[in-house]
Amino acid sequence: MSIFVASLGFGLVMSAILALAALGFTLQAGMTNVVNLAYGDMMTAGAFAALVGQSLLHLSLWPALFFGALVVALLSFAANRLLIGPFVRRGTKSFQMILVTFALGIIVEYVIVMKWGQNFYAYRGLSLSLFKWGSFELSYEQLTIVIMSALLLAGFHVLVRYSRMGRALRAMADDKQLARSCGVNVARLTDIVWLISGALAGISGVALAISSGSFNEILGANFMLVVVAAAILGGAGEPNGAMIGAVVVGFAMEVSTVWIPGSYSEAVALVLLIVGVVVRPQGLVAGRGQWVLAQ
Amino acid sequence: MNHYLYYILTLGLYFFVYCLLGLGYNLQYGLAGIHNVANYIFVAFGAYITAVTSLGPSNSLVQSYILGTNIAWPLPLLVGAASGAFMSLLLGFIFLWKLKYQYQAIVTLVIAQVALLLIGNSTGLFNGFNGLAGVPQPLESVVNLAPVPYEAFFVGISAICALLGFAFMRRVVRSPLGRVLRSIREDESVASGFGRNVFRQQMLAFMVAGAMAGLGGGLLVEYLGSWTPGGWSTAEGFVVIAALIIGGTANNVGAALGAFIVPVLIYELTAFIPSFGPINSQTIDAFRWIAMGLMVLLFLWFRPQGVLPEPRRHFRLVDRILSGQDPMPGKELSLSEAVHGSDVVSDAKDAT
Repeated sequence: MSIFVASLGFGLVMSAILALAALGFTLQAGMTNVVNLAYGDMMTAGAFAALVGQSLLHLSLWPALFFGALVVALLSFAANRLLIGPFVRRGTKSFQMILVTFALGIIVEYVIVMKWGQNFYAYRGLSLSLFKWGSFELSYEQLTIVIMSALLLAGFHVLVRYSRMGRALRAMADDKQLARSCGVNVARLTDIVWLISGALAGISGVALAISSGSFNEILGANFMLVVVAAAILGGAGEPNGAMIGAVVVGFAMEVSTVWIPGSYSEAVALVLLIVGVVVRPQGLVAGRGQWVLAQ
Repeated sequence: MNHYLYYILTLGLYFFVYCLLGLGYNLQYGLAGIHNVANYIFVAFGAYITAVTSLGPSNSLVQSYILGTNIAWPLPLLVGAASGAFMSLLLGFIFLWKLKYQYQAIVTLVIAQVALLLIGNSTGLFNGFNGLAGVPQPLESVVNLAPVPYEAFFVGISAICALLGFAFMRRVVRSPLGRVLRSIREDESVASGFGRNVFRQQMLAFMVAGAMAGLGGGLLVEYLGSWTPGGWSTAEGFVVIAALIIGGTANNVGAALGAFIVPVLIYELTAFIPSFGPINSQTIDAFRWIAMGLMVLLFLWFRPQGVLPEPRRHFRLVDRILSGQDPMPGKELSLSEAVHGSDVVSDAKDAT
């Protein structure tokens, strides 16, 4: 029983990180119809940017996290402006679009390898003390991550639900042409989507690195497919779905370790995705048909 | 002198194996339009099966695996190819049944990762993450050659396989199957509207591609002697995709050219960059991947069809109609008869 409760705690942390990452991924996919295979490597870039922030700017742990988020937001903005956007405007076919992001991911990953090599790194200022409540125990960093994630997700929900920009975003997700003719500045919103999703990738990358204690150049690439699983399982292109999918996948991954070896927990998430795609392709929260299945 | 020759032969081997992989990938992506990002699992599966059928019974003290037998030489390769096709059949039901485009690509990636986790974590299957080692080289005791001539002999075997694959693909492209696959690639609903079973045709192409991948994997494992999960990540599969994109999608000669440009020129020749000071083997490896990624991006932007684009195939009849000539000189034929009449259609041939 105590193992089960402990696994619930890890599931909570995993869901919190996954929800941020999946939200960013599904935003990109839903708003711009780009399935970004470089997303995991963007997360890694965030983790290493925070490392740079710590060593160059002498930031403490949490400011370094937001520094990482800022760097990846700008990186993701630039990637869209310079690379992905031009390809989309040209009407590149979906498979070639996937290859563009695939190639971008490989470039990002190996630029990191050139600078940092294939070694493990850890942040300064990680406390080793644990928050305990019965057999439920987490590190204080993990607890902070859960609270931060909840606040950010709530903030995002309020932004999309109640602000003028959120209304424009929802309009754009429904029908880009219609939104444009109603006076929504689609180009500017696309930039904002890439900034927000990049920031989410950065935050989740640093949070993942903090939560696992140490990280290397394949931190995000290894996590990538789990993020995709959460996003698709919840309903592709649907922000609320991504959060629900993240909770399902996160808890399934960690709670399954009670019965099966932990090295299979990623496989649990991926099998969930395969079953989900075959049985309920529209996702748990049926999206408004974004991620258009266009050629 | 000897080790230069040895090196050239190694490059030749990689060229022929990647030719085979590229041709198979061309069939499923270039012709049939299947969005498979993880072609490499079929290479890996073929390699594993070839390895266990030539290693002999499993000795759990050294390495443990299933299906350990020792069958006469060409058979392990054939069994490897057959198992690649069989795996394609099984996974094809997931990939090809309902999924399209981006979903298909993602699910292939996911299946590849699941396969990697399963094979890596279960030591009884193919010896887990440690992989298989000590795979015997084919006919080594029969031909009884010194290392370099033996290497030449092995490259000869792989060249024969690649040539057979090329000749086969040449036939497939011009066959009715090739035409159907191209029509599916261009527009599935039109193809099924004309009564073609899209799923069955794509599955056929997928299985043949799986067999070619399995054969390529078998050759690789017989050459390398060992095979571990670390050696077949998604990035390895990217080499094959990059080769086809750069060489020329839906063009067999392009696939061969890509196998020369990407795995041989970029991948192997960068090994000549001398390692000094800050440049070590790790940075050279990283540089290689970055160069390959940049090249794919540049090609997708400036020449998405590749160096050698898909040859235009035309029906002489349609060409005549389009250029305003008499469709069938010497025969009185209206345009609609020319298009729909059965005697005319049988007359129309693929121009080469």
